[in-house]
Amino acid sequence: MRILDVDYSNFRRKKMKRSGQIKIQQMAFVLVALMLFFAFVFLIYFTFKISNVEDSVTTLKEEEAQELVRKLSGSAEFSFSAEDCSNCVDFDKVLILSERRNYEDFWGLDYLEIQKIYPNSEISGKECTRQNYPDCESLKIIDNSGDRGIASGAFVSLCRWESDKGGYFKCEIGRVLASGEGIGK
Amino acid sequence: MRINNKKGQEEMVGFVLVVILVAIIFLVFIGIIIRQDSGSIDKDSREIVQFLESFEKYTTSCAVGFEPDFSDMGELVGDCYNGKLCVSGENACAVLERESKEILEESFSIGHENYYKGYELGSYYEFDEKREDIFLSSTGNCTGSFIGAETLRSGFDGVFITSLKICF
Repeated sequence: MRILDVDYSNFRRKKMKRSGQIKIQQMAFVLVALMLFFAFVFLIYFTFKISNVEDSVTTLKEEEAQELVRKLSGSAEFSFSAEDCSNCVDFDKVLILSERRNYEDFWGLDYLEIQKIYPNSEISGKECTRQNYPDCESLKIIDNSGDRGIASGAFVSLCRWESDKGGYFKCEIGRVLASGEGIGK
Repeated sequence: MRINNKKGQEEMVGFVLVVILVAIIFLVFIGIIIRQDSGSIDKDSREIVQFLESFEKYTTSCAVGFEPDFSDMGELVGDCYNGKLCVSGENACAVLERESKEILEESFSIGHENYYKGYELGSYYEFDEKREDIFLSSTGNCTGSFIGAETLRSGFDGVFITSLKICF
């Protein structure tokens, strides 16, 4: 009887080597998957971050434009000096100003309008002239033709002399709207 | 058989650990993004501050002493707090409530289908760390995001605070 002499040690070594290779492969796959996952997460994060930066730029431009409009309402040509009020526009003064063409290029704007917001139920849509003042809704100071873009606005108090009941200063709620190349840039 | 079982268990534990680690990192990122977004609440408060300044200066139809010494909105809050009557016979608080409501409706388009869904306007008097409500006017749905601001006006021994919240 002949006994087969088989060398199992070589066979076992080969099997162990193979199982080690599979483990290394598994780890490599997990590492690649993790890398891909983090790459996606970073991509999503930076997309959000960039869109936030774009939003911030737009917001800053809007805020700057609003501040410019507000600064405009505090300038000597607009300000109401009868009372201590930083946010008040002298509507009487602005009516006279709107008739002067020399101011058209003074602020570097393409469009400048003052709108009365309240009270305006009976005067809706009426543009201010000397004939219908103060029963009117809007007063265009600058209106250059062409592309105006989006006008920036700021709330103001529109103050004027009211001759009724012996005369007094009356302040109403309005908005200054402006647009132009210099605004928001 | 037992060795195989143990190996399988070890692999499962490893897998669970990796999943937990990835989930934590993902949550941290989402947290950072959400925290950055919440900063947008104060973005437009400047517009509300401007509005409140104009609102306080608005000349009302109520004169407490004599006509034409009409109170502005800021003074009318004080008149309402002191329970004063206008020369016309109307209560200062009634004028305050009516005119402030009309002003807000004209200034902001508020409604279900509009961008602005509602508002809350209120005034209160604060003195010696106490707070007394003067009036509160609100409309629409104010449960979501909002922009808002407050203005202060000095009173006899305290301050009148007017606050406005516009919800969208």
